[in-house]
Amino acid sequence: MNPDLSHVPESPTLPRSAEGAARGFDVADLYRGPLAQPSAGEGPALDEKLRQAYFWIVNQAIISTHYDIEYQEGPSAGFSFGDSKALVELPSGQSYSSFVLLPLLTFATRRRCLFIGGPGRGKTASAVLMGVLAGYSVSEVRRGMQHGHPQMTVADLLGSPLPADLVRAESAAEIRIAWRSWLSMRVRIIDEYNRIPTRTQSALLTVLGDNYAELYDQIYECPEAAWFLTANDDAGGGTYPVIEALRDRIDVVVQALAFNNRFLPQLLDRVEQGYRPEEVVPSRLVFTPDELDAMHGEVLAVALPGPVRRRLEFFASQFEFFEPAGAQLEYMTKDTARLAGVDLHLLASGETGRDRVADVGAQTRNGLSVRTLQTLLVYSKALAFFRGQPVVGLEDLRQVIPFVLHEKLLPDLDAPFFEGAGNQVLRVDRVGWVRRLFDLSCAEYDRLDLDREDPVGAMLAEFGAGLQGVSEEETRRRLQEIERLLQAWSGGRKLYGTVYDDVLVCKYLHQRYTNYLRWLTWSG
Amino acid sequence: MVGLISGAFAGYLEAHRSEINARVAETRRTAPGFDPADFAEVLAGVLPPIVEAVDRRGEGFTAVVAEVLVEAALELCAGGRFGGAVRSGWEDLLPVVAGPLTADPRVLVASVTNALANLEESTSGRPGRWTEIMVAVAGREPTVGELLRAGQVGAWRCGMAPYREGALEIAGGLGEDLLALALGATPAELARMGADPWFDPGNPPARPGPIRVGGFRGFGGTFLRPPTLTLDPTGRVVADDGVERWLVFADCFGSAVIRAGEAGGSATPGPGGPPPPALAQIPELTSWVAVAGGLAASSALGHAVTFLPGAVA
Repeated sequence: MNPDLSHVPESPTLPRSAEGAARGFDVADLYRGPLAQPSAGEGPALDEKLRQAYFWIVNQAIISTHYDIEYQEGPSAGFSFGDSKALVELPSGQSYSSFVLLPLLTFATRRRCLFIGGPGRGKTASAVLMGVLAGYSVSEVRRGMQHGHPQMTVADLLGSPLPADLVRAESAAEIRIAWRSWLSMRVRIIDEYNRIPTRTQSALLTVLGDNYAELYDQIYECPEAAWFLTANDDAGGGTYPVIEALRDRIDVVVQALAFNNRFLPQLLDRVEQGYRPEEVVPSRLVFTPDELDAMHGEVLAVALPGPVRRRLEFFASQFEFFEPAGAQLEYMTKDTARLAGVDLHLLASGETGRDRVADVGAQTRNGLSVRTLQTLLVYSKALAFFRGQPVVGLEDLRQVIPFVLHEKLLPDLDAPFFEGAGNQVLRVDRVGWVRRLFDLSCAEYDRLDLDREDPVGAMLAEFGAGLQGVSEEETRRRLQEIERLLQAWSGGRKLYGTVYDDVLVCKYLHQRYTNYLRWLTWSG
Repeated sequence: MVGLISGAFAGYLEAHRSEINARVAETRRTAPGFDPADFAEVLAGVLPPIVEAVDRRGEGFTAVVAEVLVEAALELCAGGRFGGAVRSGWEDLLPVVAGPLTADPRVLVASVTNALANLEESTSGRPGRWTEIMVAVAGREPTVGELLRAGQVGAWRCGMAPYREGALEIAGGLGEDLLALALGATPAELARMGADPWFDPGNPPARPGPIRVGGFRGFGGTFLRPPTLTLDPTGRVVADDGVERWLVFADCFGSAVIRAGEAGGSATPGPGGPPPPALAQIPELTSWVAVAGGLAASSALGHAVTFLPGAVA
């Protein structure tokens, strides 16, 4: 079951069927085999190395049997179990364990990942592994790890002023700070962050959000780093409530799933042999700082094709709109209601005619922030990069959405959708709920045939080509086209989030063309 | 029972005892199938002659070579791969390449081991013959590069048909004496081999009869159904059994079938029109293609690809 902990197979982690035919047969392959050749300086491609790290972790370190990020490459067998008819699909494509994959994507993109789950499920061990992959020794990682506790002060977290300077200094600027060494690390770990007092959380927010630390007017600029935070109970437990801004800075949330007891022999081996997986990470899986920088660049270079981006736009547009919250179009948002401190249900009670089951926007208490959308873009690219793909596929986006939106999209548990048959469980299963939201959104997108019929998309493309040389006659034609579209929409169609965004776009375009027309007529 | 180790290798083991013991202990921990007794037997039986040969050269590389050999042997034993052709090759070849071993022990040990493993895994590979060729080449005191290039040419000769194109190119750069040892050919014969895959300089007048490659998977072959043939854009034979596609190689030295992807895909269909007379011997012919020096054909009655050396379209 566990042939060699230090072994990293030479074979590609993601062989593609066409490669064998395309590459030809190199006689140099004769000398490739069970014994690794001395490195000639060129290591594997960074995506391959990341996959090697993934497979080493799932097979040797974390022992995760949960392949919950499923990819299909053709037909797959499915079986249903139990009263709930839970479907067990056997993925036909290479599938992954979110608990290992998402932290690795965080590592590659230098973002922020929160591990949640009960004690002893490998949250801290996973975080330590990420530190080791960044080139730190286990002891360095452990020394650099910040353990949240109720008495944790800002000085505990960031550092202390030098005592001599406190006495001698005539201004705050003269006080030198002994910054904590973890601030300079490329992997930063905060264990049990929900046990940190609120004031210290604010100091942590500055480092985590803006990448600098401040004490006594002294600033310490931190290098780019991947963050890993753990919480035993992120749903309101912990010693202190986590401040909203700090929670909002966390990019992905992954849940540590239960250990599969069939793998007890491997635990027994660890007990008997007295080792920890993080102590035996193969050196060839360790990333140098240059490799980390290069990998980040390669992730960002992965293309996001227009049709995939459009699905994300459509999905995201459905959550912020809330018609009863405003008299003016721009203020018809859930945020308006939230700022006013008014219960959404109270406002929604006056609504008639809206299908609150079909409207996915009715399932949430909030919309998506710009930061969240950026995070979705980055993680989609990272997943495509990890899979060795040059462009993001719709499935890449679908797979990262639940983990990015886990804490970002707040369900309205009283929404009629959750009363539907089979939907009650989605009140509890946040990953499943967000994934269902996206699937429903995609189904609606297909129903509306938006890949082919997208008048607002066409208008934006037309506008995006620039106004240089656009005649007065053409400008008036475009203005009329916008008005015709709005006229058609206003005729009896209920306003939903997706239409709301498009109406705002139409208004925006109309205003730009109106200003341009005014300039054209003025300039003669 | 492990025999007594003496000589230069014994000195190395004595000097590095604690280090090697620690490596063995670590391997025991990380590779549950590893048996230290097997490794001890390799240390006692296989490595001493190699290290002695290096030591006899008096160039002072004994410890470096011994270290590489011990590391490689430990890794192979940990993976259960120190046996068969690999072990025979270490025993017969490495003691006679002491010169190249001192020059680049890591590259040479890894290359020889991997080549032996690949030859052993190939259905038409002959690792024993390859070792004989390499021993002969070693007698000319080659550099590491010359030895490895000769080994690539020799591997083709020993049944690795997919390497033909690369080996021909390398063979053109070998000196006459190494070419003769590695391929058994003169430069003139090499030129002829480039044009005719069925010309064997070791047996010039003979042209092999029909060669059948593949077979029914249920009987240990490759194909699930009788395949049909096409050519890929580079002129290689592609066999499609309706489930998967395979590249089929055959020449005077051997044959191989290598998976190329799922069934379908782009390929050049075989020539249309009536089949050449030479294919009359194939019952229920389903497809045929013209290849260098002959024809390849498939039949509805068999799961093999039949190569007909010398047949013309």
